[in-house]
Amino acid sequence: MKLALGCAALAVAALCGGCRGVVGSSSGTGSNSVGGGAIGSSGAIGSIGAIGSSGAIGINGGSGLGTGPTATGPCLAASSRTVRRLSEREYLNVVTELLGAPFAAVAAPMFPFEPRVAGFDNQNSALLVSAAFQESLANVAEKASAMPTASTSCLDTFARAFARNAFGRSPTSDEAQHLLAVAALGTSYANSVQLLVEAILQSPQMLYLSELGPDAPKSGATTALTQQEIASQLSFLLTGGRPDEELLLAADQGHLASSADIKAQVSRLMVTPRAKQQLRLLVNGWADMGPVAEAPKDTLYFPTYTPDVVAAMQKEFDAFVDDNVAGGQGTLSALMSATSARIPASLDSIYGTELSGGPGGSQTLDPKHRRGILSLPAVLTYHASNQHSGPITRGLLVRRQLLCQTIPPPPDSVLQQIAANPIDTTDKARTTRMKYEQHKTQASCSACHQQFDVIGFGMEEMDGIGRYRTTENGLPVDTSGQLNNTDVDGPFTGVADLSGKLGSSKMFAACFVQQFFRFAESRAPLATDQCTIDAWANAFHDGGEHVNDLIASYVSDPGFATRQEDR
Amino acid sequence: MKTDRPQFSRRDLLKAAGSTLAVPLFLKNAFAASTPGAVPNLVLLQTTNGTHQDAFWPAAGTFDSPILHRLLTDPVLGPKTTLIKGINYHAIGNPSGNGHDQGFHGLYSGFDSIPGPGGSFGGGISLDQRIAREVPFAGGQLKNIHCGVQAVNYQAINAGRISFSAVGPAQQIPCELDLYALYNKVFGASTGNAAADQAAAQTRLAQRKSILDLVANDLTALENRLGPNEKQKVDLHLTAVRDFETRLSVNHTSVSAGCSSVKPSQTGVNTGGQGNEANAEVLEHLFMEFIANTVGCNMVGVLSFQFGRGGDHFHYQWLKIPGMPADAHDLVAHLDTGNADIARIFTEIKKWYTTIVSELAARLSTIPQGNGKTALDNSLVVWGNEIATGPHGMNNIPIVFLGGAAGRLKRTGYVVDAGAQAHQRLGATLLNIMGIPAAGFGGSPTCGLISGLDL
Repeated sequence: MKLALGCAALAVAALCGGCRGVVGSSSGTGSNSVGGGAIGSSGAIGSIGAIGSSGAIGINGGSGLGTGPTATGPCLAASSRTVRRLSEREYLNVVTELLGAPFAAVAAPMFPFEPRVAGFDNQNSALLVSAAFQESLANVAEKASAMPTASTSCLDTFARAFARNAFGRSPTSDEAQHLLAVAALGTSYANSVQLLVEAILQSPQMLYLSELGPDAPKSGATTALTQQEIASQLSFLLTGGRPDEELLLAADQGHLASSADIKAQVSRLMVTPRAKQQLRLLVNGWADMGPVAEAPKDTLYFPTYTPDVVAAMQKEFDAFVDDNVAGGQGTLSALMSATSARIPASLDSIYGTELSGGPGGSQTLDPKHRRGILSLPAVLTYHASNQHSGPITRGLLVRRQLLCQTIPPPPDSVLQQIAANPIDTTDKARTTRMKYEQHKTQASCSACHQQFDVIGFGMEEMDGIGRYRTTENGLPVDTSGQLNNTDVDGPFTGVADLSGKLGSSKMFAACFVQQFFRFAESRAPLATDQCTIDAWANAFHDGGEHVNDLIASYVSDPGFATRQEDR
Repeated sequence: MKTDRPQFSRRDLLKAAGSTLAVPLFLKNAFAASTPGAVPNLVLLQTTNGTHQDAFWPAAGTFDSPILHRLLTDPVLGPKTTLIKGINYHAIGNPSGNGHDQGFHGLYSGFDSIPGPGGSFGGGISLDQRIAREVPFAGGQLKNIHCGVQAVNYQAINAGRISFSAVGPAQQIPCELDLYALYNKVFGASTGNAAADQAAAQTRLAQRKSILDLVANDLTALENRLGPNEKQKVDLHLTAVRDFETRLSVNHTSVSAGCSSVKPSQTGVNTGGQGNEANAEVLEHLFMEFIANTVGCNMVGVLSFQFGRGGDHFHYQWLKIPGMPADAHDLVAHLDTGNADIARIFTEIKKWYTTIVSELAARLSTIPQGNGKTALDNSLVVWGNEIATGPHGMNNIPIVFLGGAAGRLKRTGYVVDAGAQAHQRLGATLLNIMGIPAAGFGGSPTCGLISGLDL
């Protein structure tokens, strides 16, 4: 089934129509640009926003389902040839395979802090080798060289085997010779092994994921990736690290040439523990979730927010994702409709009387209030203020991250007004919603805030650490919300109701696909990728929104194994 | 203006930081006389959320103010302090984000902020990175360090505000938060691990250089296979490798042996990310100590430091200010629009920063560097702010110079007040002080230098 919304609906659509000329005028600049162009005053979906000079759609751009491949042919877009630096997480995964988890744990804090971009840690545009990173890398490599390694009687054998696992391919003869030349500086055999480890751990071949194709003169506009590059593409997507031996052998034997070959490897890898971690990362990135521990709370407002509770929230969140993604067989619908089933005891202080069943037994929650990932305390805590429920933050989460719509940051003129008309979060005479509803009365605020306040307001039954409530400051909580500028417009009441509406939204599903694209391709989609995303979104929808359908679409896409010349 | 008796002394500051006034032996012995015409060490500090203007600037004809009182009235530090009034944020086009984004990325880059994934980012190379590239610092020096306290995402928004350092448009350099890793990097590597056997140290150095040469050769080969966009990325990596190799190659005996014993005065403080505001105060002190040690030992060319992320949301609970709300950003800075109580709280917060910055200056002033000069004389500490006022005012950004910049500031101990000047002039001036002839800075290539500053 092809869905009705055309490609035009998939282009960047910045909301906040009333802010036009102020906040809708940002122009795309540079490779990281977000296309946040101006739209019609109604802010209606379907308006085509300006694309940045690089053509980047950006994480917040576009939503809906388009037509995908047309009668005139398939989508032709392919990514550009590139080398992507591994994220620290990915690098440490490779280090774990080479030297063991204990050393990786030692190495992890030696790297500089690496921020996530739009929820994901693997975004090509942000993964550079700064002076700080190089320094850390050299120090990690030096420390690693002292680790015991598998003993062999031959340096050449060791170098080739160690490099093969680090590079995701066998080293070339030249590479092996150069490594052995470094090893020759060793003062003993053991020292030579150390030098090999140190050199390989710093090598570009280990540090970068190559998407270049063979090192040979190019003919034509596109290049086919090598079998080994395809293997690494697969393994970093599904395991977050380099290929295992079986995948490497398949590559060496040319058994990753067909879509069927690749899908067979996908099926094998999807049941590994690393794949479960990768699926968690996908969901985390989509929901813009970091560790719950990254969400500090003011203990003056939330005295029960203890480390035990934080750990329990994280445990419940991870279990929920695992249960409902189900190794890829789960669905987006399940993520939006399931009720938490594995509830750690330490969450008693959060759920309170919501829990049914005896302590220690199988306690259950009422799906009337707790349905879908958005109803988890971890999500409600992470996406909230440190002092209150943060309806604005939550509304923006839905708009920007879950519907892929552009909401520009407030302009200075609006911030000046905020300063002049402060919202006192310590005010105990009003509910949080009442305090923020003054946005409605000021045109400069309402132009944007009408797009997301009403979504966040509808989640007000959950406080800043995800506790269900019917009153706040002794006043009844108004938990009525409203979705507009979506394909499921209309009122809703509470998080569970919101989850149900979003779960039935094609725009919402298309945004999930777009976020998957970002995760899989390690970059924001470009305008030229829209046809591909449309095709995936259609397949995703038609197949019942199974996560592994997305993976199947991705690896069977012609662009998966080909690249066009970089500019 | 009523002024309290100066209660501040360098001894007080150092005691407050858990140290003594006595100059550590390693620093006493660390330096030879400075070379005439030497490039000064540059320290760029950036605080957030502006200031309370009325309490910051001295009244006409005076050199004291409530916020800067501790600094300006100090008999040693005051005469070496220069206030730059009239610096206004000057947008080139249509910068991205709000004042926090624009000023955070713009003050030390001169470029408009640009939109990027999850927030606004720097629109071009920042001053610290440019100086690191262009100034021929001594071979043994780290060219730059960019560090800070709690420079992490507040929430999953404004992703760009964790670091103002950038090597190009939206090419952010992370802010290093781990104090102890920094000590290890600066003082561990440069002293050869105190290797008893010099021959062994030389062998090890040769090994490391050989590995780096291999990495550089592989990067060069890789670069040759890439298009221009991708080349930039690998070129940055190659530069980092070469810089690291150069620094490794220093003759360790030329660095004072005394500096090998430099250690933080307190260990075990969690320098991690979000949620450790309880440690923010002690970390600020420890970082000032680190900066002084690093600059004092002449280990870095340019060091930049962030007091938190852009538009920070510190609570300042350690200050125990009566009536202090729980969020100094939304409930103090933004509301500093005439409310006396808010002004009082805001001023107290800013006074604390003066204490911290004064501590750094005091430490530098106790480190002799020959010819009667101190590390403060031979350095320039620039204390800036992303914005001018709490409610995002962008005019009259508080800028303070501390130190003599190795004689390149002809005069100190006064207020530069030559009317409104574009903020790009600050960067242009600093480039010239660092020996890079520049008629402008960032997006304003001909803005000129700060008027009224005696260079």
